[in-house]
Amino acid sequence: MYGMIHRALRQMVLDERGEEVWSSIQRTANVGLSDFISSATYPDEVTQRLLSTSSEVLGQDSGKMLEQFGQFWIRYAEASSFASILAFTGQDLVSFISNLDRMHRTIEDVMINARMPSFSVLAHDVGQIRVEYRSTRTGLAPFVSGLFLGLLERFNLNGSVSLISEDSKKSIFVIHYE
Amino acid sequence: MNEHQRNIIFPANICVDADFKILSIGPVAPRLIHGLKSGGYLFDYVACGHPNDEDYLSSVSGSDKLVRFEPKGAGSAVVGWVVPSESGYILAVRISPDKFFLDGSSLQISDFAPGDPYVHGLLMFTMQRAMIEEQKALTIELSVSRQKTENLLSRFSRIAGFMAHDFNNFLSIIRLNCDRLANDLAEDERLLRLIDIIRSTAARGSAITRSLMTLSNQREDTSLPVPIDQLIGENVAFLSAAAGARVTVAVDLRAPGARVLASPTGLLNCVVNLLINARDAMPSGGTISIKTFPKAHSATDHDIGVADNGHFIVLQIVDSGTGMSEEVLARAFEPLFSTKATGNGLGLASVRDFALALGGDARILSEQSSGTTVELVLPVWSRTEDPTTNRFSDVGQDATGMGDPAPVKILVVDDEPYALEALVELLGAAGFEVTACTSAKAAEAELAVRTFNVLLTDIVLKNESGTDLAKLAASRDPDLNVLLMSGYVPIDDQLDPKWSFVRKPINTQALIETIRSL
Ligand code: HEM
Repeated sequence: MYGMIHRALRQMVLDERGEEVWSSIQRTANVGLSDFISSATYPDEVTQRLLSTSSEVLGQDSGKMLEQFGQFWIRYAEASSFASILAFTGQDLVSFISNLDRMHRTIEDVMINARMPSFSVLAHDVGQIRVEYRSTRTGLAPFVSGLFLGLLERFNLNGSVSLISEDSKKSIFVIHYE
Repeated sequence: MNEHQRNIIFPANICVDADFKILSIGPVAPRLIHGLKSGGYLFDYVACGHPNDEDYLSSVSGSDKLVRFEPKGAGSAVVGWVVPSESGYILAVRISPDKFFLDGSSLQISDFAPGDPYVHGLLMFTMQRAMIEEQKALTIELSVSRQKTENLLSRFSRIAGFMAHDFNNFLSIIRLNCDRLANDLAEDERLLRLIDIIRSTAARGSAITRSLMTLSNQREDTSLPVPIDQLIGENVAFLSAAAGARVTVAVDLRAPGARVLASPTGLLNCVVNLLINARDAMPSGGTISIKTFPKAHSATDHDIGVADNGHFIVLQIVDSGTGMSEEVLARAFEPLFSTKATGNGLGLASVRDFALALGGDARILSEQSSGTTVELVLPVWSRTEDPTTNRFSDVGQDATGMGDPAPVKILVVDDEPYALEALVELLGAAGFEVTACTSAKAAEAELAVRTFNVLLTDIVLKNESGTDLAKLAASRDPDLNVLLMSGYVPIDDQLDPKWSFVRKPINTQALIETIRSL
């Protein structure tokens, strides 16, 4: 994965647990500053190691941590130079999720090593969106749940996210909001 | 093209009749031209900047002329063609952002038609800016972290130096007391052999501590004419320890006396770096040879970047490891290039930088599966170049000064009581008249009331300086012979060239001979 993901994870731990906890994660996962170059790609195994070490050191269930990290990523992007990309992706929840693929596809042209996800809005109704998520990776469903929770927060909506089906190719989520 | 297709390709399109009454609008049009509604009159909402916009639009209809529509109220300008239709005109327009910045704009991707190159431009540009911002942050982090590491390293190395110094003092006490024991047990062969074992083990330990002291105590930027063979010879025990237990270090030094103007610590660091690389290339052990030999280089020698005519010394580290592939070899000197999972790739690059800074160069000779030779070619220092000589004479441990035993009065100063006790006994047994002091202050008091032939003082005393004591004593009595002792090899310019120096741990016999030769 691109180093920007590593930077975000590091920022989450630093914000929530401080420098010492992060140093110990870094030591245990055997990573150094050179693993945090945003525009460089690293084997998924490094990202995985960082994530699993973080959940071990923080004493958190790995799914829970991934979800929390997804939610954090939206806040992190909002506070960084990615903010304008978020704004450009959509100005309301439905447009945003409908436009996610276009945003990722376009970015893929500069970040040529990325393995982008695919999101499609299957149906939307008042207070409810049904979204399909496809990926070449597995195990990221909790991360996606967290991302959607982060989006609810971004659009000032109260709501919840449920994963209603999951197989090796796709996961289906329903986002309920008031 | 039906309305649905039109709305996908031109999400901001506007259809008007022949009188410019709005018939329908694309989904994005009202987001761009605020208030735009079907049923209204087009030029209530937009203007094209011509005296008669109606005539102008009719005249360009069906042509490839791009028309720009500015909103009269809030919103963004749109640009496109006027296409004639059965009921009037279709304005096939799209948004025209003025700049490639997204900040603060209320645009979103779906305001643009699929494949609109503007989306690419905007996102690429913004992404690039975001990456540059993150890169900047990383650069700052790297420099802060480098500073931290350097501080830590320098603190660590100072502590290591102090510890090595103290440890060396203990080894010195062991050695002196072995000498005392040996004097008392002159008859007992077996015990003498045991004493020898203790003594030589202490000597090996102290060779390692001395290397540690050299590495931790001297500044990298202190350049001295360093006799390379001697430097390597004196540090063999340490270099062997750095190479690890599975590796045999063989030394073949054939440049005796040749000196290189360099920092001894820097040179030693280079050799250690190369040894560690060599060791890592031989996971199941092997032999590393450290070789030196002189070489006359000429300007026609293109194989290595040393351009001057002159004399050079070649320092080779040869391993019997796996060697390097051609690709690895081609990149081996690049900073940050490493084949090791945990490597930072700075080893070889910094070795080459070091050699280049001295006016030399480094190269690698390697073949896959038959080991690697790293070769440093360094210019030989000639006496005319720089007078930064170590004026201070190091009589070392194996001085062989000869002379008749004479009644010599010696003032011995050492803050280690056990070492002092041993020195007093051993020097006394050799026929000298010895006065002992554990501090410079006590020694000054002695010097004030008595005359001595020799002042033998430790350089590092608790809260005092042996060198200051020596200066004071020499100024009071110019005939006094000063003999300094320390685990450190002093390189201080302020030391008087007439003074002599013995290294700890002290070799009693050499010390006695030195005193006799004074
Ligand atoms: C500024 C905004 C964003 C940028 C620049 C961005 C960029 C990227 C990039 C470069 C990757 C590829 C990682 C790799 O393979 O190395 C990625 C992956 C991913 N993105 Fe985004 N993204 C953004 C926002 C979002 C949002 C808002 C969501 C969802 C709500 C999202 C969901 C995902 C997911 C789930 C992946 C994982 C890829 C996988 O499933 O294999 N991203 N993103």
